Amino acid sequence: MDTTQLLKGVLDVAVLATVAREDGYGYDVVRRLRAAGLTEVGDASVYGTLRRLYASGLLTSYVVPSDEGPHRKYYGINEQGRQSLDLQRKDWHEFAGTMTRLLDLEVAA
Amino acid sequence: MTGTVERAHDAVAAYVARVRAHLAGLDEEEVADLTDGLAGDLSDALQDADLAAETADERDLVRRFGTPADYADELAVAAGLVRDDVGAPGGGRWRTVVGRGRRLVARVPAALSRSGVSELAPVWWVLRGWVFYHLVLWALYSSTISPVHRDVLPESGPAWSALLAFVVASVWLGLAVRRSRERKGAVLLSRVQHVVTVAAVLVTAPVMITASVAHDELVTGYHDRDYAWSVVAQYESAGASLATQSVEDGVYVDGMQVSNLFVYDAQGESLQDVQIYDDRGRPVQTVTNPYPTSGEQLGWMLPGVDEEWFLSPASDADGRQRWNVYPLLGAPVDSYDWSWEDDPDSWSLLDGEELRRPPSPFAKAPALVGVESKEASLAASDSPSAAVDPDPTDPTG
Repeated sequence: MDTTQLLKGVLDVAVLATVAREDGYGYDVVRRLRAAGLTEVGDASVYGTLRRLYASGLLTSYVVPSDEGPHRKYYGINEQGRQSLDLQRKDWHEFAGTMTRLLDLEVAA
Repeated sequence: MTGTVERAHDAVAAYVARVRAHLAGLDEEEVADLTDGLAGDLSDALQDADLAAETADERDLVRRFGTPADYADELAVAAGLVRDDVGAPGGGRWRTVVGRGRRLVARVPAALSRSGVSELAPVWWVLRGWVFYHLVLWALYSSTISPVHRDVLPESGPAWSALLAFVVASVWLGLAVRRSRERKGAVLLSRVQHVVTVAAVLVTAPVMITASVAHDELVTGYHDRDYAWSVVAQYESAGASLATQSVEDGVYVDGMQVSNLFVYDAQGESLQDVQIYDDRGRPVQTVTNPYPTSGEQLGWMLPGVDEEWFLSPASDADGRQRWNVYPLLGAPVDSYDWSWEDDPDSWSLLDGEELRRPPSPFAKAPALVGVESKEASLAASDSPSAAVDPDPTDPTG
């Protein structure tokens, strides 16, 4: 199964969940997503998603200058983002449960 | 050590610059938002990917992250700034085609850069300047026939300055875009450069063809002169244009403008009032600006004569002035009434002065061999006609 297609649909909520745990800059978020098992995730997709979530008002953003290299743009979740994450988490559980039941039923039949 | 770290940073900065360039179609602020901090992310990712910062170069970046174009696409799609045309709902086939085309075009600079073609960019900038120089010349002079304006390279100081200015401007634009790609705010310049480049590409072929045609005309002009007959009448030939740019008409011999023509018959006798036309029936005129006040019939300096001369036209039966009747008559400058010089129509000779024939190069030209005399040819053509068609007035006929 092509997991990259699945990933597209859940990247938003995955990124929200990652940032909700702790503020992070672009590549930091990529690293944490990969560490969590989403190894196929594309760097640019994550950066773009972060930017879009920020633009829709779900994230805050701040720049941290660095002494030894380029500055870092950190993202953190805000109240609106948390509400959205809660909603999507609920949706996901429902959807995953439905899919699990459907697939397991298929196997049992 | 510091040097190699610098190099890695340079490669990252260059990659970011190219990603930005590929996002040039988007809003400037969005691009800035999207690529702010990208350099830091890339550097970190490089270090994580067993690519020591010390050895990373542009190829490593492309291997790790894909081409800047692909990267920019992914970035923009994920950010919701452009639609992913693969799954665009209701986007339609056209959108897909346009999207693919845009991406394909967007990849060209990266591909060129990889193949080292971007090293040739300065050559293109110069060529682009040259093309625009010709474009402007064409716009200014398209109404004139003279091929000089279509020459490959200019032949006068001012024209060279103009060409130089265009080339400098083009190179400046190229450098400015290249420099600004490494900074924010390249979007506008980059757009200007795109427009300029597309325009230059579109007109390059026509300009080159015209220039080469003009060159052929020049060469042909030279050859024709070798075959010209005893009166060397080059009417607005390319050879004439070689001598001066400002004069668009006139007769030239060896690059020198001719004031008057002297015609001799087969026996070398001087002929008067000879009308000369070119092979298209156009009158061959040495004097192109008849009146001193209307521009410049500048006085002519005749060989061996101290005073300047002004020449005058003959008149035909309809009262029209004929400037192609040679030799043109004229008079020295002092023979004219200059008190009316603001009014060309009043331009006339002083009382008691009259037009005369300017000094001829020689009283008699060499006679030609193997050419029938005028009388003989007249007699030859007259006698048969006399036999066939007897003079009706002849009482004996």
